[in-house]
Amino acid sequence: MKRDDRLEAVFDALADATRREVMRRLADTGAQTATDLAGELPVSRQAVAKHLSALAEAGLVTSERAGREVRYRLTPGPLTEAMGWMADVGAAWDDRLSALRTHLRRHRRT
Amino acid sequence: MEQHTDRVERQITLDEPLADVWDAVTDPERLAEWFGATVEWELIEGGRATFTFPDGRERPARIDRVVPEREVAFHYLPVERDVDGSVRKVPGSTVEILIEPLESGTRVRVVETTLYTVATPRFLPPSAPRWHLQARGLVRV
Repeated sequence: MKRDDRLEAVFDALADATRREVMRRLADTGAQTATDLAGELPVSRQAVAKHLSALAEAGLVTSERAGREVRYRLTPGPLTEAMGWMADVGAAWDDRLSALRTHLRRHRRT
Repeated sequence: MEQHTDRVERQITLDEPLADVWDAVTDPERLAEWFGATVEWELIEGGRATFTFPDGRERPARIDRVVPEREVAFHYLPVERDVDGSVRKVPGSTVEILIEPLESGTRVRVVETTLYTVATPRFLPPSAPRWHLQARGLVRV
């Protein structure tokens, strides 16, 4: 997947409260099955499976087969790119607002 | 607390009065002195805007809201045009510049939010340039 597409999938994945809760639980407990997760959340197993697939597409979870079960594990690496977006945009506005202050002072004197 | 990974917020308190700050934000000649890009925009709701960065990249945008002496809001379209004319997909985002008079001086608050989490098609008016639609993969060539 291209970088921007992957970043898009990450932001999409994070936009949903249930998916964020799924990630939080995986972070707390390590690998779990969709059935385990559905038991802890107020949504169906089918809904959990769909959320897990969205998270997998974003690269935020990986699945591993253990006998009959498929267990999901959090792989938070792609979050770094999302944080990168925030850092870049935040730094750009820090620069701009500080330049705005300078501009206004200079403009007042002329 | 709700965590935001797709939203950046910054603010600054300035000594200058509201009218001067509003002028510095909305007059393209003055904006060019602090924004890090030159802008051509039609400052009305739905108006077109183009930001040109020092390296020649161009970002098209649309004006979402203009509230005199209070707010300018726009969104960058999810494309960028390089100096050589090639167009590539980049993250779209909304920008709100909110201006507020203080007892003495003015506060400017900026909120930029990525559009990844918003269904973007509503931002595509039928009159949108064709290269833009193609870049989003919505038009088969």
